[in-house]
Amino acid sequence: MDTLPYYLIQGLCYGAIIALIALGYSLVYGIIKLINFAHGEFYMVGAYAGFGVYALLPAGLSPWLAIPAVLAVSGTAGAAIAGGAEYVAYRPIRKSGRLAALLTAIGVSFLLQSVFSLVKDAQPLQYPAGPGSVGALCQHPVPVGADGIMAVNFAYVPAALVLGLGLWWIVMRTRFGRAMRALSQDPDAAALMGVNVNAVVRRTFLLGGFLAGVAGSLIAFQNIISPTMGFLPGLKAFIAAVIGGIGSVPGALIGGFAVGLLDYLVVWAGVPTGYRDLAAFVVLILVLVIRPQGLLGRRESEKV
Amino acid sequence: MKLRRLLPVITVAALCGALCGCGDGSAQNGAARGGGEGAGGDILVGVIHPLSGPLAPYGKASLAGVQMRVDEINAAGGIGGRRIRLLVEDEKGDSTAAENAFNKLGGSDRVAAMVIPVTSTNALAVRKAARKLGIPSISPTATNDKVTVDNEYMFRACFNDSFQGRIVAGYAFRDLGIKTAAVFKDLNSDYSKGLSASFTKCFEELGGKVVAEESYQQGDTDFGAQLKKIKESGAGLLFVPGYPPEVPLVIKQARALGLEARLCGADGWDNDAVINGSGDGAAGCFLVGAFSREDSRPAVKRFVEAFTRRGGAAPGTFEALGYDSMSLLAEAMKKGTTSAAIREGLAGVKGFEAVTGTITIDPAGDAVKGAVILDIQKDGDRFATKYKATVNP
Repeated sequence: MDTLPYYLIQGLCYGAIIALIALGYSLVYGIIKLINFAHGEFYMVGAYAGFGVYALLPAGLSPWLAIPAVLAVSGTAGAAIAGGAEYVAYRPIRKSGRLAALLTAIGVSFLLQSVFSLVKDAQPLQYPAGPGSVGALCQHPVPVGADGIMAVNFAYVPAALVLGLGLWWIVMRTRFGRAMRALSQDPDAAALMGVNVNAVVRRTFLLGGFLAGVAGSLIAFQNIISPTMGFLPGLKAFIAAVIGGIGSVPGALIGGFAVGLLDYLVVWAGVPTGYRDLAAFVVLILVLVIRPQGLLGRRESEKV
Repeated sequence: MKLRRLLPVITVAALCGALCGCGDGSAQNGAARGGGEGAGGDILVGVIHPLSGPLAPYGKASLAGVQMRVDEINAAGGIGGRRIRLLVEDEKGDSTAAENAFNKLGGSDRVAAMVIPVTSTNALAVRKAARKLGIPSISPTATNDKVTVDNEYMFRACFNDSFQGRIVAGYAFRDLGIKTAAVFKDLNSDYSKGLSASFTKCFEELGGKVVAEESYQQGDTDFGAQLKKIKESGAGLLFVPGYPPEVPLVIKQARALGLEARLCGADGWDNDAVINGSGDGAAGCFLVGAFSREDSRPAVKRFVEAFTRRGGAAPGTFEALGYDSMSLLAEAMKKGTTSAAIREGLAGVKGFEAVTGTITIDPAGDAVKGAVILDIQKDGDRFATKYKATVNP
């Protein structure tokens, strides 16, 4: 039993990262019904941008100053690439049907992976972990019972909660949020009521990209940065968004934590680790069969 | 509904893929080939290595060794007055790309011989093409047992996994006195799966117990759950046959978790990406290498000196085996430079003095020679390998 805390904490930390990515997935789907498969790549771009800025910062800068700077830049880069993808790839085909949009998203995903493969011949990058560096601070093991967990993990849950609740506040309490909700209910009616559809869609991408970019650097502080780093978290986040009810902000948060916890608790429960990725997919299928709108989603009938 | 609309797209894409695959295989037969006639009578040798992506450190290391040997041969007048020219292809760590590269080099470029991928999975991917095109192919470092089995065109300059797994098991059990071990293997790698099996078999035959066997997949970055299971098993040794970027992350995360088991790996660890990419956790780990830089044999001394003069960094297992692969090909070319003659020559190598030992090619196409155990130790502010023991077959 005493091994449970380790799995719980690790699961929550991983879940927080998934949640941050899932929020963007969910927002974008909520307003334009696009499953943005390139969303995991925004996370990857954020990590690369943060690392690039870190290399430019003066050597010996306190990690306590470097970390906020890196996070701000990765968020901005994530937002910029999301906004750019929306403008270049998604806007021109927004009226061409969901299949065209889905294929475009897959294309954007491949494009970004290929472009970032040119950085250092696609070799993985790591933050230096020498004394007094960002890596040393973030990767310092914090004792949990008889085990150790890298320090940066403990920032994940607060980050996800603060950013997630902030996003919820924007959606529920601001004019922009109201426009988003109107758009998600009926784009044509919203446009007739004076909602600037293009502006709202663009800002939604910017918000989603920002969250994914921040998540990218949060992970990169303890792990590696590679062109394909966004694939699996992107997939898990998609599952999380569907489980939570795609289109719902609290749903994405809950879905994210659920997927993260699931990933660790199945191992704790004795499932062979080779099969652990299956767990999330099995739950996805169960949710789709039993409650297709997700935990917090609204049921909507398909309009023909 | 949605899926049905996608189906035509998928079908067309699949058809295109299949057609491209067929187009590559040319119907040439090795026995009838002149083989490797390049401009000005150069002998063409193809090299297919991962030169970008996570496995690039290995491809580049091996290629540096191959290139150095070619430069030496050409500077000394070539083979019977003909120079060797390398045609290099980047397979990016992808087995399909490796096979396509083989078909291109062997089909349209008509190389006489080939230095094939450094990883087992990608070396296995070119087996069929090697036989079909009749091109003698030597891998510097693909250790999986199946690479050379039942294929007279496949050779390797390294030992195989059965031998390597036995060495790790024997050293841990007898010399270190460790009785319980855990294995952490990469499910997507033939190298990792083959080595795990041979280690487990030998360790249990000796009387040890493998108390945990966990697995990961290439591209995984978080190993916390598996390492925690291994920690709970109480194993005294953790054997991780794998490559970067996973292995350095496993080492780092094992240390952060507080895993006390001794970590060890195989020849895949003998590269700076592992030795100096794993943080302080690398200290105290051990690995199997093809050779030791501290070896006093003149061939080794000369190689290490010359290599360091060229590139600055001291050579490891991959550089040495790249060098030896080319030496073996050159040795085989003494009998003739057609593909058929080189194949005959490679199959007949006996007692050849190479950097990584005295090599005899056995009937399967494997190099029979010894291996060394290397410790990773702190050396100034970096880490380096230190010679521990030699094990002969």
